[in-house]
Amino acid sequence: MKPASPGVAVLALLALAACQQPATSPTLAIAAAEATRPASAGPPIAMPSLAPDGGAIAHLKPAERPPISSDEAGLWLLSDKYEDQLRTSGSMVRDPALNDYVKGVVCRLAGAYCGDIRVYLVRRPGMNASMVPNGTMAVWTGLLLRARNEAQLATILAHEIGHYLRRHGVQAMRDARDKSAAALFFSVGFGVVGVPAAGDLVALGLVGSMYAFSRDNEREADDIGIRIMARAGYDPREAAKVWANLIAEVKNDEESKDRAIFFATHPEREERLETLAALAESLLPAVAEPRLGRAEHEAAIGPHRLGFLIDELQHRRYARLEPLLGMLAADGFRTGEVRYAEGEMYRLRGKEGDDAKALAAYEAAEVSGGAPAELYRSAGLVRLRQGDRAKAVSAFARYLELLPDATDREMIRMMMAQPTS
Amino acid sequence: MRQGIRARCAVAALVGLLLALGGCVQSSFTTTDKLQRRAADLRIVLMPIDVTLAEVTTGGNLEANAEWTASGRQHLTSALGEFLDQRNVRTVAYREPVSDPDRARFHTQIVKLHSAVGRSILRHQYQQSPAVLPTKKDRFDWSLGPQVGALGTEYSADYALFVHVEDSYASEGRVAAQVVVAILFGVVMPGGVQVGFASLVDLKTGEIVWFNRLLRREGDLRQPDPARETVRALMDKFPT
Amino acid sequence: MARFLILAFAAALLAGCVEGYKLVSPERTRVVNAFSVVPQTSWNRSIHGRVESWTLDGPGLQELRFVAGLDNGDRLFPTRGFAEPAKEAPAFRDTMTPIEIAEFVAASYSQAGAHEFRTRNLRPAKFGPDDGFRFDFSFATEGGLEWDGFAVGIVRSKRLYLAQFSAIRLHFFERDREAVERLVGTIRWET
Repeated sequence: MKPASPGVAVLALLALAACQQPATSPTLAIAAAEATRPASAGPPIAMPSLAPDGGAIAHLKPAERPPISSDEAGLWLLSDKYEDQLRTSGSMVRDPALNDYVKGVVCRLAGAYCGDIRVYLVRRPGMNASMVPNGTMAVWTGLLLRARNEAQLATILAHEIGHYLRRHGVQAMRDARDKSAAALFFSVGFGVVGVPAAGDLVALGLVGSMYAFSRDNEREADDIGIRIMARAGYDPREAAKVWANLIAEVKNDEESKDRAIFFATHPEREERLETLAALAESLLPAVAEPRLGRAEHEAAIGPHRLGFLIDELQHRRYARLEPLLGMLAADGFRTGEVRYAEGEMYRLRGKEGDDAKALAAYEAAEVSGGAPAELYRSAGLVRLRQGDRAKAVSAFARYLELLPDATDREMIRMMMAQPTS
Repeated sequence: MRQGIRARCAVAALVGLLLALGGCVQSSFTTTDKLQRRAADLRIVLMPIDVTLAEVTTGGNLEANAEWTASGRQHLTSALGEFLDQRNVRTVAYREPVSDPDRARFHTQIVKLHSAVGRSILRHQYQQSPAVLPTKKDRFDWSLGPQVGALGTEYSADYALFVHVEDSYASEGRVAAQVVVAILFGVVMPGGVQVGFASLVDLKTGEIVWFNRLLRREGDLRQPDPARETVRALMDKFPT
Repeated sequence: MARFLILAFAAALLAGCVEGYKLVSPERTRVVNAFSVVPQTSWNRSIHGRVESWTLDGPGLQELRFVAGLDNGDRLFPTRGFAEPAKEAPAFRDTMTPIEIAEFVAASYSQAGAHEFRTRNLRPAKFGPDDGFRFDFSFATEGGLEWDGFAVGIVRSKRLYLAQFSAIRLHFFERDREAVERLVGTIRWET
């Protein structure tokens, strides 16, 4: 049974009852977007032709909605229900400052289409963002974690906006519908339209699946995405870096099914990096002051990043975490937290030699500063495993010193009195 | 994926049972014959009606149809209004308190709780269900708890009515295919199913005082008269 | 295949289609032949190997889950017919301290789809006559409902035993929590 969605009746009715807006010519849309560019920008950046296709899936115009009798309206109906579920889901991140930051990036990129897009932050590990035809955008916190600056975040969001503007989602949904998958297609549990929550590689078009976009669609989204990025003043050279970092992360995950498919069926990933790099070089002269936005990004996600790291740890994806944490530690931003997360990774993985690695990471975290008090509790647990009672007790003592009101203080004290339980 | 399988499994089980039993199974429960009124008029707050109308295509897929859904909701709402008017019930439509996000979130929790309870009733109350709970035999005691009183105070209402309907209609191609299959194999394929439930919640106590399950192969929300018939079926044994 | 499980429904997902519930009368009742309890009212139970799922109104509303003996390497949620074994789902280790067991439960639930799973108030507690531990927890479902719960457990002869109660925060948890506390207080070993 579908759960009763309170607002869906109202929303869907409003959405569908709305008259189709008079068509805005695509060139006007671009002009409006151009108007938001910084005054000192170079010559306008060439966008691919935005004239509607011959009939099939037309390019999207701002505030456009499909006529109620179309099959696309049925897809919007599902989109509206999906949005309603998403909006009230248990995985929503409501922090206003973080939402404002991401929405700000989206609007800078989307120009005239900014008003058509509603951004929802989803608390979930994994690098992912998605859009559905009615303008709902879901951004996973795992993406905020992996983007090292605002330009890298913009890369992925611009890519998704590219899919949205070219209505690739409608095409994908029609294809899924034909493959008897429509009923499953919209599910908040999938996180992304039609894609299993765990499969962020699928969502980013790096692994084929019946729900993924076609390779042509991916190329098109890359192309539009990087142009939108450049037009908004971001450094387009960051685009290739985002994908290269993800590839490095996935390469390490030797047991992953997705990885096997990824490397077996997509030799184009090399082509993709080359294409993005070449496009970046050609677009760069037109960007007056190419922005990375590292400080802004770090300021926005700083207070939340440890939480995002802990989410990744909870999902125990050690093979992905190892290279990711290495990269984040090299950034020098809140390194204490990163080293603590590294320690936790080794402690939880518990392979031969991991205990020593965990302790080394905890020590590095201590030196950097900024790690949470739980660092000492974790160190104590590792010491216990090693049979070093004295060091375990002193680590636990430090934990209680820093957190005298810890909710597990009774248990810790008991363990300090008799550590071998 | 699990959610899809669970939902389909549950629906398939229910549909299968219904088809096996020929559709003559008890579907409604009432804990009271007369509704309590706090004033001369009986006031019921009508929660947003959750309706989806879909087409069953030749291949057996469900395709949500926006036009049907929009008109289905209209017909259902007005037929429901007529039905309650005839019983001297004043209805007031629920409006999400957009200006008060905390209150909106609390209301959302109530609605979600009701969905969870409704699903539990469908799955565990009915004797023919494979997951029936033994403690529910000869009893119908379900409640959302007294905190729903907030809704009652806000709307000066005695009860809240929730309605949820999913309707699917066989397309032309499907009907043709059905006939062929029937002739060749002597089997009838379900061409479309009307599934739903309606429940009435006492806003003083949170108790569900009336619940009806709709599970059948006929019914049409796309036109006003058949929609009235659907409402009569949906509101079977509604107490007044 | 998505490994996304809706937890509170996990035991009864298939129960909803295949297995039935049996009545538990208010008398001393054996749980998986490991221990016994005395409920004050009638419950409904569904048994799956070494796990029993009890409920009053359906596992989508509240669930009292007895795990009577996880061995080294076992997952918290047993894998089923059409779900692949979740390779990344954490496994119980018989050398775990209660702190690590709480982490194990949290990670198991998180991977199965619970959001913001938090454990609190881990403290020593009796499991039957023996010294065990307990902790409180809370989470939100994908569908957006908040749940509360508590677990009482012990590692005995290298096996993990748990009595875990969770219910929707609105109405159900407060209503049923005391009865479950009393029930858990009646645990007695039968082996």
